[in-house]
Amino acid sequence: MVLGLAATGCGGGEGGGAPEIRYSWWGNADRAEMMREAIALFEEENPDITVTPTFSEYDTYWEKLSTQVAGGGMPDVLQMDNAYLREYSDRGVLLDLGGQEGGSLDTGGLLEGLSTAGVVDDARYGVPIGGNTFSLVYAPELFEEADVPMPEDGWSWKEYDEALTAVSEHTGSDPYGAADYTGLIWVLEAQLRQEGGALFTDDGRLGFSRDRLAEFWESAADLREDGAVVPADEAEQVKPLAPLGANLAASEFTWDNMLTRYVEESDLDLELAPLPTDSENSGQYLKPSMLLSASAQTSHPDASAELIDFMINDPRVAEIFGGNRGIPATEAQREAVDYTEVDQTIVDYEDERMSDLQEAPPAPPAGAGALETEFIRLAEEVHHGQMGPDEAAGEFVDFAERTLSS
Amino acid sequence: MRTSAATRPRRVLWHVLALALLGLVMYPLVWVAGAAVTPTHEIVGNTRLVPAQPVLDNFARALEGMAGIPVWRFLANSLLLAVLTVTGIVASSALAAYAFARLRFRGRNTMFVLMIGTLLMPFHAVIIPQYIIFQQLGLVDTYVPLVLGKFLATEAFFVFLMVQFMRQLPRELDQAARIDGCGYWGIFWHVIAPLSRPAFGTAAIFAFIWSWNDLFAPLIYLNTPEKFPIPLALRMYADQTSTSDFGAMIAMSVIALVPVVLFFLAFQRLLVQGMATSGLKG
Repeated sequence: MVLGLAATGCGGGEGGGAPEIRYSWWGNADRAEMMREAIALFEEENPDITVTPTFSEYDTYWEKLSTQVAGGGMPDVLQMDNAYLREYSDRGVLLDLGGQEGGSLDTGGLLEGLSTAGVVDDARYGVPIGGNTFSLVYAPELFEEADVPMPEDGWSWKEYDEALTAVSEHTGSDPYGAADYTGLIWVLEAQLRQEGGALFTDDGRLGFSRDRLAEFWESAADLREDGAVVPADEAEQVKPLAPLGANLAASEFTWDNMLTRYVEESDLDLELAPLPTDSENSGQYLKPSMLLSASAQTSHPDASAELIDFMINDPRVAEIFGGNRGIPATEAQREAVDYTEVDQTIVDYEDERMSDLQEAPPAPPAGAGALETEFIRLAEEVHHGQMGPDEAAGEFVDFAERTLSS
Repeated sequence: MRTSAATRPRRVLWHVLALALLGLVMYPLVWVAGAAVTPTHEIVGNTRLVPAQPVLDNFARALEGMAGIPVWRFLANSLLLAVLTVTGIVASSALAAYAFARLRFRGRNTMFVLMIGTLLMPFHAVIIPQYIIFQQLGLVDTYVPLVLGKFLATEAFFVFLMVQFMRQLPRELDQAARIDGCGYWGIFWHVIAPLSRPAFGTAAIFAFIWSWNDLFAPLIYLNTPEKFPIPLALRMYADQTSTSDFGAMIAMSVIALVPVVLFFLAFQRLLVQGMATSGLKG
């Protein structure tokens, strides 16, 4: 395949000699081990390409990448987060893989909900590796014991609030019925989508008003007062664990692939459930959990695309990783994995929800990552009672305007 | 005679307070030691010092290393970097400090002020220009960017520390050496350097600890995992987007602490002397 491409006149793009690809990712030690196996397999199959791996943990990964981008030492193939995709593509440092699509890169196998993930302004700057959907993780036994209706498709926010209050009462707040869900920007996004809105408008501005945000933070005020949700100081103490993982809560909203982690941390049996909604609409969609991009400066665009193709399509790669990269984004890899019990739960849940999932919003505007951090900070101020919802909402909207317009 | 009755209770109180403070300061360290033998899922949120059932799994997993790279490799890399750093800093700073403290040359004061000025410049302000230079020279992913500056006395803190120390050595010794036929080099080698040993020891300890704990520079400049020092490897155990292995991380921290403690014990007598005599407040 590589020979064929070289013959079709990509010689100008490919630097002379055997391509050496630098491949960079974030993740834990397990992932580094799996990558080593997957790369060995790739090199075996493409003896003329050498892959040099480099990895770090999530936070440091971005510090390193921004230095490399500024200093001109970017890796050829790199793991990308949806929140940063537009930031890097706007700076012109990512390769538009559209030229390789259909050649060394086959994106035809991507799941329907993910087929346009990684595309910004009609250019393919990233290819999704895995997808996940925002969901409720809960402990069925505690809901049963408290004799409240189980979460089901189309249940309302009011029903959820009542259920979690009843659970808190029944258990004597050990654990609480839920974590305070107004701390997550994704819950707000879900509610906005259920109302037919979005977090960001198509032209990259804030998709909600100050009042709407204040209302969101206000909505859980009663729950906080009644002690139905985990109090802010208790949530603070168990960090870096989430309340659910620390056995403080009986339910929590999160991305469905996080179930793997919570199951390991929590003593409770956990299940996934659809989001509550006050409309016909679940607001849920398949979001790329991570993507692969190539550098615009790479001297080996085709070999880079070859590696990306291998990582997202080859069934043996999926077998090596199992659930480590999230649930795979392509059919071929999804079927190849011999899932663990937890991962199987996630796959079944996603398959069941698939028909209800909506089209994903376009890649968030540059600065979305900073907005999420600011959202968390201000939400904590509100939860601690240091700030009123109105004041915090005003501060957030001001911050968002400054960040998004620059 | 008169004092003992009055000071006894005061002394006891003083010791009790000091011991209480010591307990407070030591608590995190003892906690780390305890957590290293605690099963990994019991670690977070746990304030107990001694686990109910100590296990050694954490050390077993930490010793496995990662991605096929054994843990001793990371330790050896850290050690190599630290030794080069200490050698470079002590040798080059000593010479620079000798010049500032003893030699008279045009522009000495201006240069001294400029050197102190570099202390005020945050590392993050120079990192990108520096990276570009090393990138253009093709030296990224080698240890050169991490140690080159250390051999060129760019660590103003250490130069300053040694200047302060050398300034209070009596000049009569230099003059005596001169009469005995020593040049500038001879004075440095036979008089200043031997007398400055406490300052060199202090610099060596700080340089060793800083190099051993440095995360950012190796993160930016090193790409090949086989070249990683221990702090980079440590971070891999707690990735927020995947499952974190706190047990292995803490066990590895304990392993990583051992060389620092040994180095400190070996040089601590010099450190204390250096602090007392160089006017450096700890």
